[in-house]
Amino acid sequence: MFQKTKGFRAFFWVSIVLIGIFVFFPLLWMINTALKPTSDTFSMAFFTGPKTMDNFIHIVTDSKIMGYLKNSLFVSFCSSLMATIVCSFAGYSFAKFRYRGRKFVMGLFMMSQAFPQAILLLSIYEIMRRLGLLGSYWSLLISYTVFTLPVGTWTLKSYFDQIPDALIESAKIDGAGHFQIMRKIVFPLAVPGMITIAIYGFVWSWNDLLYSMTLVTDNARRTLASGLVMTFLGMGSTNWGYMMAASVVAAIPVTIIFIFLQRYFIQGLTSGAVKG
Amino acid sequence: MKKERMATLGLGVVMMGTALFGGATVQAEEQTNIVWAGWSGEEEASKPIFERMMNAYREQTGDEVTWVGFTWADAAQQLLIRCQGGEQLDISQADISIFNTLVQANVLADWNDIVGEDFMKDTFEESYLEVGNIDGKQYGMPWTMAAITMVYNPEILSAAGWDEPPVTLDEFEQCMADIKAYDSEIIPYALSTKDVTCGADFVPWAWTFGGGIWDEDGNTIINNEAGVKALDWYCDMLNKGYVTMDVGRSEARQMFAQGKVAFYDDAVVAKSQVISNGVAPDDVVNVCAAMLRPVKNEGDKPQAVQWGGMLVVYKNSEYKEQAAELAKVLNSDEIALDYFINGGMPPVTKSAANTDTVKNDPYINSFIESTATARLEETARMTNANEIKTILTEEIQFALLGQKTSQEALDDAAARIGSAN
Amino acid sequence: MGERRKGLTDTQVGILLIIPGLAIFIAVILFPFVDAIRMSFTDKSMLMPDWDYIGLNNYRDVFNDPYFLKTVGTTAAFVLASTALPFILGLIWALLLNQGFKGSEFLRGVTLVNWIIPGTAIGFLWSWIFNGQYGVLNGIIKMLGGEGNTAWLGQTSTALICVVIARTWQMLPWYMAFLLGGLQGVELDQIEAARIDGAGNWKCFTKIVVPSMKNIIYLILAMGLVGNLQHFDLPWTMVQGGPARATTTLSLEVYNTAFKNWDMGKAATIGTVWALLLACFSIVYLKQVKDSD
Repeated sequence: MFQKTKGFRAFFWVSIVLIGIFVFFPLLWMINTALKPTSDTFSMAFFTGPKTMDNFIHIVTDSKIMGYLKNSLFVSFCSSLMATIVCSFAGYSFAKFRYRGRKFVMGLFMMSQAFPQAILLLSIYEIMRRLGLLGSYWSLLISYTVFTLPVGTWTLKSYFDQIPDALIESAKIDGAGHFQIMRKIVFPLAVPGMITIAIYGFVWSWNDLLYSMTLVTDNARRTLASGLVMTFLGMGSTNWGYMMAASVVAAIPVTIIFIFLQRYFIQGLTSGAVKG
Repeated sequence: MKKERMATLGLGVVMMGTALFGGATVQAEEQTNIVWAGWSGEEEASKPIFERMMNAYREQTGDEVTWVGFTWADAAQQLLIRCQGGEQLDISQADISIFNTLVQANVLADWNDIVGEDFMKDTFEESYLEVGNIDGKQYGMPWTMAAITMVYNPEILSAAGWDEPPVTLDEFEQCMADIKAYDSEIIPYALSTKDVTCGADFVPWAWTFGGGIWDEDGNTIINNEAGVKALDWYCDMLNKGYVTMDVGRSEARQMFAQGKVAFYDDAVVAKSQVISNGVAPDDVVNVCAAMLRPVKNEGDKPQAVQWGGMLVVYKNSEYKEQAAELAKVLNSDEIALDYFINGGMPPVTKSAANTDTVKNDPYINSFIESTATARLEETARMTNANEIKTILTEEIQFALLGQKTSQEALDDAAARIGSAN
Repeated sequence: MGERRKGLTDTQVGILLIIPGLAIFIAVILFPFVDAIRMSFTDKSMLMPDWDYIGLNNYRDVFNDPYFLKTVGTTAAFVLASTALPFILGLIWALLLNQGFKGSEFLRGVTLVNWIIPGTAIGFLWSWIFNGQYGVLNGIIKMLGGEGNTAWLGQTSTALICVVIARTWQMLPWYMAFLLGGLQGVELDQIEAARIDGAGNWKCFTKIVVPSMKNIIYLILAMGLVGNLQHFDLPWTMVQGGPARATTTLSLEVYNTAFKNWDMGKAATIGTVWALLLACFSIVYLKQVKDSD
């Protein structure tokens, strides 16, 4: 995209070194600390001192933290699935159907993230309490799905926009019903976008602290974000080695999924962006 | 297109895997399973002790107990959410800072109705029972009565030329100066300068200077001359490098356990924190000892804050009897002494307090001595104790960071405390 | 399934498809929001089951609170800084990775890892880096010969900056991903044409690259601003809103008021005022949605 002039080269190398250090050093430090024996935790050695897997073994054998991890994976997968389905439906509806109030509803969806989540929480807490859902995953799943609506419908709508109307029309003439068209023609064409939204929804619920801390109090159901806070932010002396090992362990499963799917993630954003 | 499909397939497989994975956590419930909530069992230092406690209950009753843990700072909130959400909660620990909040929220049951007043009177000292008694109802069963006083590291002090801990504020300042001169890497005093522990720890110092939050008639006096002097003294210590910012109880404990701090404020749990950092229980006295809080003038009464860990049982619990069984197990001599020896928590029952183990322990004796004059924390009977301590913390920080004078900061604190009630 | 639904008109199908989204929107956003506005006129507490309407008392309290304006200011500073900084760095990073050098795919993948580490873990990591006593940053400063005893998180002047840096670290990959997406859509022949006309790199960037990414830039800036306004994890895990309220944002204030001080009525009031402030911002946001429609 750019000509490799002297100025550009200088800019390139300076930026890549500075941003590179900023982006990767903390990550490496985290791994570095997790590998240090407890006695060395506070030393400044950067991958040079003695190494141990003790911290990782401690975390991996800690049934509580592994439980949090499992819960987080479960909740994140479910809400990512829900988000993908709900956003696909809505995106398709906005892209290919014409009815009154369409733009208004779309505007509402786009604002979902704009309402102060901390105050929504007050009433969601009440509603879930009355419905008996407080402490169950439903309260989390529903909330997380809503917060993916803006990016989700926007991205998928632009996918569906690209599908020529003629394709749908000809399928109709062939006698296909609406849901057959969706299943066989429309949705398969939007798979990259759907993967993008699945990942987006996954990360959203993976990261949430506010809702999970308030709507779920049981150790057995707690998710990772609040589990880590409850485990490591106490009054007792903090074991940084465990904490960093737990953070690394927490990042591993998602990283693996990401390695396989990151191309689709960016591709999905690309197609959305081209149109948008 | 093929690649996309593979990706979807992969995603689907992983999803199903997780669904099964997560689904497997459903557990069968056969025996009575009570829920015991709190924070101490969540802390690394006490985890094994709590395991032993629960195993003792399981063995003695054949019933099951499940621990639900959170941090101390989130305890009141998490307990209330559980109560209001109708989730199972039978018994929990509750210390003075949250006890009254729970009482006011009307979620607790009276122990006298469950185990009988006679049992309570026979088992515990009257003074301990009083802490958990509100308007004649015994909502709290004593568990770990203690006081927050000051802890010091005798090794550091003697290296700096002090064989005895300082008695007066002047001596205390001199001692901190000597420690600073001896090793500038050591923080002389890990005073809490953040989170609610900052506000809470300010109160005994205000007492030391002759002040407090309220007077006997309930007027806010935090901004009187004594309070301002105490805060000026805080600022002075910060300027001299005796104390530092960004330290809370957790950091203080951590650095103290590593021998990087000479003094800090804590309850008896100080011991377990040091032990969990690798010091042998017998050697604890060398690096961790309790002392009387320095006084303004020689002969003044040293100040300490009465702290109490209690067990509370919940009104909506279906298993109050079983909860009572657990409480009895926890207060049995064997378990209480285990918690004492390995966790440093002094037992509260008459019988355990009379055992030789407790009577002959030098560490606890210094603690008991230094806490004999402890006063109940001033916010202990407030429902919004947390809010008041947070206000204090914020205003103290304004003064420490030089954004307000001590007088301005405490005037603002007084005004905010006044409108918070 | 297709057979059975054949009778539905297009409009009906279209409406049917938005029902799931609309239903949860009403349940989790609209109703709670209206309910919170109602709650702001009450003295509801988490401790008591009973409550009364108390008119505008909560609003009076909020506006009389000497720190409310400061909280709004802190929020604004946090939101602007932690949107602008990761956006700029993310843009530069995306431009570099888009050059397609050896290993750029790998770098792109690894960068995204930051985004998927749970926010709480990021909070831990950065609070350690900035710790005054044994922090990594002070350690490095010491190694370079400096004093290295600054309590970065313990001073009002640096605490917010530290949180912004941590937030930047967390969100940079997110901006990078969207901007990389946008860059793929830039038409290279346009750049070629401009080059022939003698345009340099900077001119190509400002006159062609940025304008053709206009929509995505609007979108991510809007999303970023709104996301930061809501943001809770990092200031909470790193500094709990302190010291001396330097990092107390509206999001933390609402949470603390409700779940630490038990005053749900006042918390709802702060939230309502916040929503009103946000309304102005939303108008811009909505306009952007309209434009891209």
